[in-house]
Amino acid sequence: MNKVEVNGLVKYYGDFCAVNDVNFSFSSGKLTAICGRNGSGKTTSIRCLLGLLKEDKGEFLVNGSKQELDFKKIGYLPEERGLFVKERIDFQLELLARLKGMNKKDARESIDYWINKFDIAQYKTKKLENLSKGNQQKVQMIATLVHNPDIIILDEPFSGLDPINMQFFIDLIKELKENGKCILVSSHQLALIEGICEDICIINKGKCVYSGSIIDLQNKYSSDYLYFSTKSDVKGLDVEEYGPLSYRIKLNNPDEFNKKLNEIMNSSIDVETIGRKKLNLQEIFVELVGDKK
Amino acid sequence: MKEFSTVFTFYLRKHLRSKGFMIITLLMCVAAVIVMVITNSFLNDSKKETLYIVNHTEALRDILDSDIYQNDSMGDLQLDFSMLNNEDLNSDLVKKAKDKKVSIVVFEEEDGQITMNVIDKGKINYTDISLLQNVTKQILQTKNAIKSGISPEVLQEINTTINIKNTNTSLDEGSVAAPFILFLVMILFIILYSNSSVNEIAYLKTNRVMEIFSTSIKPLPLYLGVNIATALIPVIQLSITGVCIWIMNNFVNFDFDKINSSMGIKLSSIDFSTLVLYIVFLLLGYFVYSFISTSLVSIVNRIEDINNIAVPIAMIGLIQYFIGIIALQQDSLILKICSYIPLTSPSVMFLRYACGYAGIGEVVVSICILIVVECMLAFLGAHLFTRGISYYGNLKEFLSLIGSSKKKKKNII
Repeated sequence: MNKVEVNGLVKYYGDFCAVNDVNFSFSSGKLTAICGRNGSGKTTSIRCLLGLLKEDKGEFLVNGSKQELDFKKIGYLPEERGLFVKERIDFQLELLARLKGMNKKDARESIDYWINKFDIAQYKTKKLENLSKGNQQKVQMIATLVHNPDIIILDEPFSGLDPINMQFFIDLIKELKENGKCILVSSHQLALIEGICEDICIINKGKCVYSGSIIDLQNKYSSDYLYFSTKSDVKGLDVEEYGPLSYRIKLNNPDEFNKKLNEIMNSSIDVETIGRKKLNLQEIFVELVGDKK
Repeated sequence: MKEFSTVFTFYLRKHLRSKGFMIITLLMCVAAVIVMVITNSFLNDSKKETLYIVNHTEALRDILDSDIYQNDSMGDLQLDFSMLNNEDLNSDLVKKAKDKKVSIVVFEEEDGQITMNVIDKGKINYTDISLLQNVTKQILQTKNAIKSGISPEVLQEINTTINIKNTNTSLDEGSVAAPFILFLVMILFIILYSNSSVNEIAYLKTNRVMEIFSTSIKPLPLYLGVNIATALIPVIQLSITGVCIWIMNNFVNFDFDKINSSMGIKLSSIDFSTLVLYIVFLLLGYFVYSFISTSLVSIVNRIEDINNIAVPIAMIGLIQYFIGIIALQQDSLILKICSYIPLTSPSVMFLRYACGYAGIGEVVVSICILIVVECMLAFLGAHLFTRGISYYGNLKEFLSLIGSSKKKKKNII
């Protein structure tokens, strides 16, 4: 069981404050996401956590005690992919595994295991440049996991993936979570984050806007809505169109759901789907960090 | 140490498998072989011209003999006495010389006068013919003097010769040529391979693999691993080229010594200790330029900025070349100063040592200065490398970042 806490992190670039009093934590057995607009300070926070940048203020607690992260136990997937494109895949994976403290035999066994798991065994001796973007992303993920790290930090793990590979990555991350890994995911794909993460830290302009569970976030920042879809004309109904042939009605109190449901049923429209839920993470995020006019 | 060896092995293998390494090594070997082949064939073409001796005189009957002439050098002439007693008429000899494309000299006697009739197609150098004439005349005079009853002692007194002895106070060009060629190769390799390490760093800079490295390994072993692996490449290439030349010399019947002497190169001026010093200075020279270039390149972001740093450093490297030209003339003050400045000392001190200008004491001092400076550069370089390689802002911000990293920030919320 591992838990990493970031408390009161502050980071300046010259006079510019990139990260200002950011707090978040992530622990084994659940997935935590760190989200924010471009340039909000996510990557700077992660770099400070990894020791790539020296923080100006703040502390990192590992399992409750103030200590630096053990590099050998960390798996890091950078935002922009970084491997040697003109180098053989097995050679560079072996280099990275050995730098993380594995011996040659264990490194090779681990590489074989992950390459087979990711179904790219046929590319093992190929140069990285010969692989598709999706397969390059798989190699990058193997480089993150090859040394069986306890703490995994994934910066935009889903970018550039097709739906099949994306699902594979989602399943893999869930599997890692079930194996007790301590995982932090940074991503802009909030629909995915909402589906797999329990906790979230939202950063805006260097400041932490929210840190906690996603369910609490939705409860705090979102009312209930009645959602329905129909091909019929909805004129006469007080609804908000939020997608093609999709509509919703804001519920001002929990008891209002049945009333609105009856209104729709009594109208002449032919409802295809109907349900009750809160705003999704994307909408709450926009609400929280979007520029208010 | 384990981390260093892992990075070092990876980068060395990376370089050795690269097309650039293979092509340059192949070109070096091919160039060495071509130079040897061309020079060898040139030497074969410049064989001595054979001159057939024909005697139609009575006076020279006992004189014209290969045993008598073998001790005398006839310049570029190779005397052949196989036609000595040929009695063909001159017209027949002319026809024979024309048909067989040979040169013939016929000694003829008329009214007590001996004439040398040279039949050739203009290939014979008349300085050599004059030499043959003088030697023959001297032998004939000696024979006649002894026949006249002059004692050998008196004869020796009469024939006292004046020898020429030349002591050249300027440097022997042949002795300087080999060190100067090595000096040029050293400068070329220092610039070429420090630029190669710059490319490696530029690649790391533009590729986030550095972030993975930085979370896996301490900066110093990584920095040294990249630089030292690159440093070994020119040494390996020189060694492979040397083996290639050695094979040509030993197994393909090339007369290497003859080739070098014909090119005015005295390889004897390069002994084993000079070669060892050469390798040491080559490596030290590479490290100076490599550490400076790579640490500076790691703090800039754009490709044009990388070039803006790499090119001036390479230009400084080229200054060594002009200083080396001065060394061909004399050991001047500027040469002495440059042999202690780390940017120029590796090549200049090597050249001074190989030319005999500098003693081993000066070499040791120069090496010590280089090692101290390089240790400082390595630590500074590793620091800048680590801080700069994962920084993507502008240079001013980076410098303020370094400067402010230890300052306590006020107004922190």
